[in-house]
Amino acid sequence: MLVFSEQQLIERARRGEQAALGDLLERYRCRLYNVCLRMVGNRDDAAEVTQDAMLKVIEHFHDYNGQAAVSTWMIRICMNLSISHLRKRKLRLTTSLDGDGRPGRGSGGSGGSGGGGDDQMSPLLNVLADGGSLGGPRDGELAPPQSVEQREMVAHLHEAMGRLDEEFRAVLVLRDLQEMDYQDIAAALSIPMGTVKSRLFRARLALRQEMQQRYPMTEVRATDERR
Amino acid sequence: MDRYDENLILGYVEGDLPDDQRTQFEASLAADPVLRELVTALAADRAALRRTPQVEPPDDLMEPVHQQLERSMLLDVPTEPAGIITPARSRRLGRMLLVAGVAAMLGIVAGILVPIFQMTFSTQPLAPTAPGGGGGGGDATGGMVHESRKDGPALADRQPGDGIDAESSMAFKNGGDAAMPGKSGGARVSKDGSVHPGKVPGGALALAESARGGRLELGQADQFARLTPQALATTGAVGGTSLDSAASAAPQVATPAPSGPTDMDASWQKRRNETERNLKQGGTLALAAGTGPRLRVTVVAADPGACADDVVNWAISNRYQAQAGVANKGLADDRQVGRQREVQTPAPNESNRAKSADAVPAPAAPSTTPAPAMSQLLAQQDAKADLNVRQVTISLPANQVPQLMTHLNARSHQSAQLVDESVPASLAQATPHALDKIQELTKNEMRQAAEKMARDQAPGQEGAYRQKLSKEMEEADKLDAPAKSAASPPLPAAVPPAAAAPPPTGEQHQAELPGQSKDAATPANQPPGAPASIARQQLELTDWSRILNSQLLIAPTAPVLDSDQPVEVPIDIYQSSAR
Repeated sequence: MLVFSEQQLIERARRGEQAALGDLLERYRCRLYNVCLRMVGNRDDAAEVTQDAMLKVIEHFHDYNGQAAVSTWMIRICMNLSISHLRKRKLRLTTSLDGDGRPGRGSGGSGGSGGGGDDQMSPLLNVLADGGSLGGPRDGELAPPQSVEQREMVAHLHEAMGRLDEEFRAVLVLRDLQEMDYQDIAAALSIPMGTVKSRLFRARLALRQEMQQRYPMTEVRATDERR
Repeated sequence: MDRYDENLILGYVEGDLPDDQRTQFEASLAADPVLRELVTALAADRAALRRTPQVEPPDDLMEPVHQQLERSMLLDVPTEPAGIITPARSRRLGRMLLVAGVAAMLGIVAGILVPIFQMTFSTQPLAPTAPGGGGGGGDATGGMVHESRKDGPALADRQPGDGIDAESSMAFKNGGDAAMPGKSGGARVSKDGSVHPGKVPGGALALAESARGGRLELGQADQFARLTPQALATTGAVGGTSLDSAASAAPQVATPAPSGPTDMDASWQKRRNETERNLKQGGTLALAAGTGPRLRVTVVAADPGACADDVVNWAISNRYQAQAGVANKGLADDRQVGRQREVQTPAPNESNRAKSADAVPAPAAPSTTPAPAMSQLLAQQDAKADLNVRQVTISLPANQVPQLMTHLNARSHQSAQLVDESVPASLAQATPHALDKIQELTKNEMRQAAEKMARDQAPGQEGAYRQKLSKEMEEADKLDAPAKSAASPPLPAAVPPAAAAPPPTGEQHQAELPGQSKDAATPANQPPGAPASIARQQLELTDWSRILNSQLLIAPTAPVLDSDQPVEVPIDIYQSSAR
């Protein structure tokens, strides 16, 4: 079987070869899934959003103009679908809570938390209960050995991320988890590069505040370790 | 927080600060414990997030994606998930149809207008402007056929040097030995003054014909046409232009009049430059457009449906794109049309029909030689089967084609044959050289060849023979003049164009084009002198064949099957006769 480079695959896919497009998606499936997972915070929802994004990629590949990397273009689709999914979920959650007579949540706490065992309400907590940690190893995943405290801190970080606004969460996911540069982030989020930097700074501050409010002890230990 | 520069903090956390700024910022960190604690915490958060491992996606993540890809691959409906036609999709379809309709109309209009403009601009310099000339009213935009028909009876009034064709002026300069009435240029000029572009309807042959100013029979050009089928379809404008010029100038040769050598040289040079430019640009581009790998596979199978499924499965298993379908090859494909006609003409008799019960499977490509009645019957069965030919088109790298052939031939009760019709790019590169050679021959070799012919027929008496030929030509003109007058009587200049005899319509001339034979250009009352023109025509044919063979057909063939460039291989699967 021939092994084609990414550029060859893109050219073939542009000519309408579905097999080449399938190869491209196969290459990026893990990355796309992780982007969706960190955005929506739920494995099932992440798989659903990733599949939707891939179908969107197949449907609209002829619109890809090659100005950005194809991975950036795919991630942008994932981001849009993830944010759309989060907003739908928030709307459903608000409607459900109104029906139950309980108070609805504001926009600042997207993703939900602290609502008990409701999957719609606290996806991150659900994941933690499921696997111990959102980022922890599961089903043969390859994860570096971490101390319990480190794993706990990572879990708290992801949980705190789940409470951030979508735009803060998106820029943190792309910068820290996908390790993209400012230019690619700007392309993926369709915002200027200056906005990326200011939003990233505000996102880091918001994450820090969330961590200080929710897990002050963890923070102290983490900072003590560094010292 | 406002007293801190967020760009500096972010740059330090991200590690983007240059050395001097980082040193300065670290100094400020040492002086400000609050800032230090904040920056340290931000950096710790960043490091912790970056340590997060990638989560492996579930195994069934790609399942719907592959289903969608396979569905669009098999149905060749690109990409859009199957579903209900929503109003948005309906509107989009409507817009696409509207745009496509407008584009088609624009294309049709452009297709009509562009040749008209080309003919207009190419014939304007040669328009009959002499007083009293142009019995048809002097319309310079009507195209070559009309113009030459109109000019026919008014040749005597033509001003010397007015729109003299390159070749005809060459003939004058060389003593008129190569100039034959009604036989100059790429078009066929009959004795009544009408001009027929010949049996080649534009395309590369017309291009080549106009380049040479000679004639080219289809039989001799078959190989050339087969090598460049796309060029045949795209060079009509180039051929038409030169053909038009030659045709408009053709009747002028019949009345050689004294003309200043400067005028003729300028006219010749202008015409030559224009012809060269048209031929080199148009011909090269057209041939280049026709180059590239072109492979096709013909399969004869006992079960074409199963064979088609097998091919598609092979493509899917190797992750190549395949497109399958059933085509009415007998009506859709020109080659099949020709093949069907070929095999249907003589009906088999009853005795041979009886023998056909034990018929063996027919070969993939039926022989074109006259065959006994048995093969006729088998071919008829093939022709019937052609109406249900399975077609599969596979996109794959060219060097994988041999594997495909191996797979096709590995199955029992079927045989496959690969046909390589690739046109190498070197053919397009060879074309300008061929055209250069043609131009040189037009000027020099033809004259020498005509003189040699004269010497062969009358050794040592070239001048006398040349005079004899000229005399015969003049007599032929005189004999032919009444016929031309009867066909289209010349009108005095005072007669308004509306009263003139109507010029022939385009439909009338178009109707004469297909099936025209060489004899059609020579009327039944062909006067003496015709053998000379026919001899010249034959000479041109010989030259043409030689040039094409030497310059075009020997172009090296690129090893298509050794490259990994993607090719689309159409596979025609025929039902074998043995059922």
